[in-house]
Amino acid sequence: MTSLELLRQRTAKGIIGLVWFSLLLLAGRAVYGMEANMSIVLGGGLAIAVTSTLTWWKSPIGVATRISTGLALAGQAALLVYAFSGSQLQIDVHMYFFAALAVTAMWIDWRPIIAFSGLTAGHHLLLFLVLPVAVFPGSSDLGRVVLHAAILVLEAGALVTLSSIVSKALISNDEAMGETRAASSRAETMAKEAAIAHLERNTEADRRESERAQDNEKLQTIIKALGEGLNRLANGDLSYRIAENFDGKVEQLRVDFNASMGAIEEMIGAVNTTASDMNQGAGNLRSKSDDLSSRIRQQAVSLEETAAAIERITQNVKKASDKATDAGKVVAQAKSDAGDSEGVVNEAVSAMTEIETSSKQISQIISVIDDIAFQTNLLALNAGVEAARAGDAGKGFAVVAQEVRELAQRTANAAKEIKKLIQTSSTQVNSGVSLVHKTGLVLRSIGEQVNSINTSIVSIVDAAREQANEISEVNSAINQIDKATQQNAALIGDAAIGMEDVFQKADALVNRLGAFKTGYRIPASRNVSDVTGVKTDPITASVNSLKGTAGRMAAPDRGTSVRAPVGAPALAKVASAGKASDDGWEEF
Amino acid sequence: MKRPAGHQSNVQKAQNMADGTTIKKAEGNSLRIVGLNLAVIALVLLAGLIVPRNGRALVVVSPFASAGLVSEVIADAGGTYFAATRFDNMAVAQFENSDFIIRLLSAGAILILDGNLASACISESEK
Repeated sequence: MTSLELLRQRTAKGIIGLVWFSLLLLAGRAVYGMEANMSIVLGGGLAIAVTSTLTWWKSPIGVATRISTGLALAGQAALLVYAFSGSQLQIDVHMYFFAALAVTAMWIDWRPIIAFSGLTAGHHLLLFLVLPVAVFPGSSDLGRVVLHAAILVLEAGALVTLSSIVSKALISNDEAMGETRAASSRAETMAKEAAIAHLERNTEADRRESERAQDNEKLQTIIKALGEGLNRLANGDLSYRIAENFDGKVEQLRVDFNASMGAIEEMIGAVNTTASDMNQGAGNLRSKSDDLSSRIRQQAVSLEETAAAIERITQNVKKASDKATDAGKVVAQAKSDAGDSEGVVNEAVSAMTEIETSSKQISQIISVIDDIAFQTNLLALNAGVEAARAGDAGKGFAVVAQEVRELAQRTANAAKEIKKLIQTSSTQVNSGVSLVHKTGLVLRSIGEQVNSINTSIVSIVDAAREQANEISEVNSAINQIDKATQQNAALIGDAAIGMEDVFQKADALVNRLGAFKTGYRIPASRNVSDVTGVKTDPITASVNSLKGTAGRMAAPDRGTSVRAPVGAPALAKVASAGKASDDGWEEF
Repeated sequence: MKRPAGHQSNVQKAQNMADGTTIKKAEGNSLRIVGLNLAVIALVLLAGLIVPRNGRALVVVSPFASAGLVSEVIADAGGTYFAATRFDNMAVAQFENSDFIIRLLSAGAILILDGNLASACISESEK
């Protein structure tokens, strides 16, 4: 609660007391005797006092209480003036207005002051106009009203100003007091906290001292156990574990140490196993290297044989190409000859036609001769007839005529035979012409087939040329494969040298790991000698084996391989060698 | 949790509205209390103004009554006619007993006021 509110609480009680004191004054006036109506004076005064008191009861310092009490004081002052109606003291009783107004100002609020002043002014103005005797004794005038009003306004203004000043001062004071109390509270809280912290610090220090002593003892035990463990570790004993439990969080240190020792032991065991596996792998690698070396030699032989076979194929293809070229030329010649034979056939046909024409002319001539022979025979008959008529004189003539007749007969017969021959010749000429035509057709067909053959031969020649080029490329690829094979052999040699270094280091690793004592043991089956069957040192044996393999692969015996007879036996040998190692090759 | 600005603004508005409603309600309540006090005070002061005192009362009868009714009412009530006014239905009566007021009302008066109030109603000649 603020100072202003405290002040108003005390003021409220005083003002309520003043209200009831006013009622006492009214009662005293009533007892003394007055013109005013006693019921109004006492009853009204009581009503005003009760109403304002109830208001105060409900809200001791509320705005309504402040205003209502101001109004109540003004009303009771008016009642007091009314009670003194007809008395010479009535004008003096007006002083009660100003006293009550001053008391109202103790609310430190402008509202009750204004309410008091307003009610007083309204009351006076109304009574001045309606019932002057109720407020002023004797005669009254406006000047008196104005004088009272001026005094009232002056006092009210002064009291409002004073209330404002006091209110601000109290608010500032409250703020300052609030800050002071807050600071004091904070200081007190901090002091308490400091005292508690000091007490806790002392208690904590004692507890820590006790714990430190216990921790030192435990620490000595822990250091001793850890020292033993580290000493065992330095001596290579990885099987040591700290059995005694540590207290508190340090137990985790023991667990971690044991876990670390376990991890190291497991790791060293794993490294041992790995080194053993490396040795075992060395034997396998040597075996595989030998197999690889053998296969590379076989590969080199096969490559040489393949190269020789391709060379022969190249030569054969070239020969075939040359022969195809020659065949092309022959075919071209045949094609030319076929063209020429067509001309010959035409000429033959022409000659046959001419022969046929000549035969026809001969036949015509023969027909003429036959006609002449017939006429001659006829004449000879007539001459015989005439000779017979002539008798003996005509006997000679008859003989001549007979001779002529025989000659004519013979001529006719010869002409018939010639005609038959000519007909036969004509038939044969026709047959010859037909045959020559057929011969021409056949020759033309032969020419066309020759052309087709020529085209095919040209294609064969081109294909043979391409085959020759492709075979040359295959030969070139085979040569590159051969070079790559040689490079592989060289690389395997380098790998063998690197493997030797690896095996030496693996051997050194195994020897070093032997210094550690662990619960792990290398299985007997992992021994290289058991795997490879060689009784020498496993790494040395593997290195030597790889050296030999690398040497053979780096410089294969190409002389023997290349010079080996190339043929079915050699190929069969290679094939059988490859077949014999098919399983190994798949594994490789 | 951080609220959106709009939501916070609405909440603030609702709070302000609630505060404003509370303030208005409190102000209205205070105004009613002050009005009640003021009404009691005004009633008391008005009663002091109008209740007859000092043995004189302003008697008012119906304005539609005859001119002599007010004198008859005063006479019937047992009072004496003290002064006339400029109105026929009003007159100042003088009395001694407080039950005179009741008798006036019984005799036909419709309003009885303090006799001093009649000063505004008394004619200059009567003064």
